[in-house]
Amino acid sequence: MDYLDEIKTSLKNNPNLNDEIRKKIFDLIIVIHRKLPNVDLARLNNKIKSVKIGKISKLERKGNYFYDIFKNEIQFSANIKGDYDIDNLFMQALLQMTTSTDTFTGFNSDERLHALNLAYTEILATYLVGNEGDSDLEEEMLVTNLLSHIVGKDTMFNSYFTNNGEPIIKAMQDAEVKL
Amino acid sequence: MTSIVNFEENLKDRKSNVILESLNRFHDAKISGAIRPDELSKIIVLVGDLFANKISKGEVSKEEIDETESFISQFTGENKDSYFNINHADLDKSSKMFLEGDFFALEKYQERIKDSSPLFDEESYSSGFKRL
Repeated sequence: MDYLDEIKTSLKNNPNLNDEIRKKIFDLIIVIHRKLPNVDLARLNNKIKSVKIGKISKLERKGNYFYDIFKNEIQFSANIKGDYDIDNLFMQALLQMTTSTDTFTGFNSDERLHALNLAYTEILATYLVGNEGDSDLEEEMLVTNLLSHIVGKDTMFNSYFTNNGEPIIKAMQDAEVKL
Repeated sequence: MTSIVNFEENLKDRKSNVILESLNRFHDAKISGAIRPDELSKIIVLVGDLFANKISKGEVSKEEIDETESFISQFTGENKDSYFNINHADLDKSSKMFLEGDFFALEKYQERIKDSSPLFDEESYSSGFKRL
């Protein structure tokens, strides 16, 4: 199902967003739809209807952005330091919304996959919109890239969008077995 | 028999768990403002072990080996400030080969281990084994 028209309506009817943010979000969603045409946007559409944009201080949470799954809020740091690509950060948040369940996003069904999930989100975001700024997850992305050669890129992708981390863990465990 | 099976199962998933949990610890420390290069080194070595196993089982294409070698080479060796300036003396042979990007030698080494055939000359490796 093509959700773009519905998403446009959902954005328009969300009172928490201004026109500039609506346009930015919609432009980024078009990129997801074009580059990942088989990804289901139903959950994203649902989240878009009420998503808020907020700010967090360093005292509340470290990092430059955070998607609060329980509040359905994209939170940007009030003290962003360094040169960050806001489109990349927004795209990461949208990917988390696209893959959100009630309690986690992506393949973080198992807490062991927490850092891997964050890094994979940034890798996907960078694939979609590039990154002309700094990254806080370079080392984590390095490891994720290496693990993708072991687990398989398709397995990681499917695990991310089906919220199931088990195939990743199983593939790593299988790789431990020597001949 | 049950206890032996459980012990083997625990051994089987230990590297995977260590990789993932070390990555989480590294990430959490970084977010808090600390840096844990020891965790990262541990991760890279263990990931190297998994990759070496896959090569020995023939599960990695030459293309993937080339791609990984190219990727790894950005992070090993020359840069003294790099997190990946790992003390190679502490590593086992297959991990050294992986980190030095010498996947051809690694593949041959794994085959030699499996077949006990003299395909690979350790002295050649030490003096600078070249990919054919």
